[in-house]
Amino acid sequence: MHQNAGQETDEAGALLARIARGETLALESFYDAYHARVYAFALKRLSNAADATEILNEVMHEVWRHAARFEGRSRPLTWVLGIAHHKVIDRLRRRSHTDHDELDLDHTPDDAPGMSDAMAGVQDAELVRRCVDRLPDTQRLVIQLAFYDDLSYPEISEIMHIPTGTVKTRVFNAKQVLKRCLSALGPEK
Amino acid sequence: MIEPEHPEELLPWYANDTLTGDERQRVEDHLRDCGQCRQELAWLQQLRQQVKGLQPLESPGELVRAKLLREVRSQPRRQRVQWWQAALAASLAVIVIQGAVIFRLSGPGNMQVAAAPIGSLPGQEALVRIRFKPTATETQIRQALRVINGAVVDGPGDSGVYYVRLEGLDTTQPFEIQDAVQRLKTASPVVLDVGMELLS
Repeated sequence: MHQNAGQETDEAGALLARIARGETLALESFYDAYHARVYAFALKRLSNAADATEILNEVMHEVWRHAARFEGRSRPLTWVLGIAHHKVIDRLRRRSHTDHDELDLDHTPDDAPGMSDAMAGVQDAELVRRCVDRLPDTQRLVIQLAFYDDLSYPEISEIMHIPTGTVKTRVFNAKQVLKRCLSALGPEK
Repeated sequence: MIEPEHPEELLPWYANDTLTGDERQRVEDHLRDCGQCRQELAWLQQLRQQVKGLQPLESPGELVRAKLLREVRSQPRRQRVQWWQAALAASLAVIVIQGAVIFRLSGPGNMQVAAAPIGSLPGQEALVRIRFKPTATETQIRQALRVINGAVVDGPGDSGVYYVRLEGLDTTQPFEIQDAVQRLKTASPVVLDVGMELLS
């Protein structure tokens, strides 16, 4: 798994150590390595490019100020996305949005969709986009973290501060919702 | 719906190649004999590919990068203080506080002297932390800074704190810095308190 993950972790960990010593060149390298993933993470949750840009800036400032707090117990990506998660939650609260983390639809849909329709639907990129966009916020986030960022369920648990069982449940439920959506909107319909 | 004994909850993590150890082995053992789970895995792998392609994301990379670095470089430089530096600073602080006490005993009775620990080491900047009264005007702040030949390097922060570099001082001589702080406090009615950080 993650053939380059160990090397990436070592390199980013070394960068964070240098950032903690106040080296701006290290911050530049860290930024280059992670800005796209932090921005993608924020944009997916906030659906607003300006807000996501501000989150990116805030996260990197946080990295600059608190790099010494990185203890190497997790991957640097997990650590930095955890910071981004907190910032996004704060931003959502300031928008006076409902905290969907508390209201997650962690239930199993009643009807299981047909696999053949779902398999046909998942071949259609535009259809997948429409169905992913319709997911509840927290389900869309775990799908993004699992399949865009390729994070393990313990890593997602750490970032979102939820139990590993909840991560699995959310992915399972998201998957069921996606299958139903793809079947309902799929090309065979 | 796949039967409960199928490791369905682990399949997404097998699909993204993050499953390890016994869990990975369990899934692989199961997949050999279960066409239903192989089909589920194929669907998940296809979903993963599509999700990766869904990101129409053009990060504002260079813009934020330039802003970040400009802001970071405008802040005071930081360096962790080593234990021996802290010990030396503490020794200097004792000397300075003693000096302040002597000064207070021999100086004007109504002078407000801050006993903030100050000190410096060779190669370090004399950087002081000044908090002005909320009512201080820009002119008053400028006048205060001229007294100590100070240059603002950051601030004001949330609590109204300015970081000011003292120009032209021998930073290895704590009494020079102490004198500067005293001049500031004596000459400016808008200074609330002054402290110093060890920066290099």
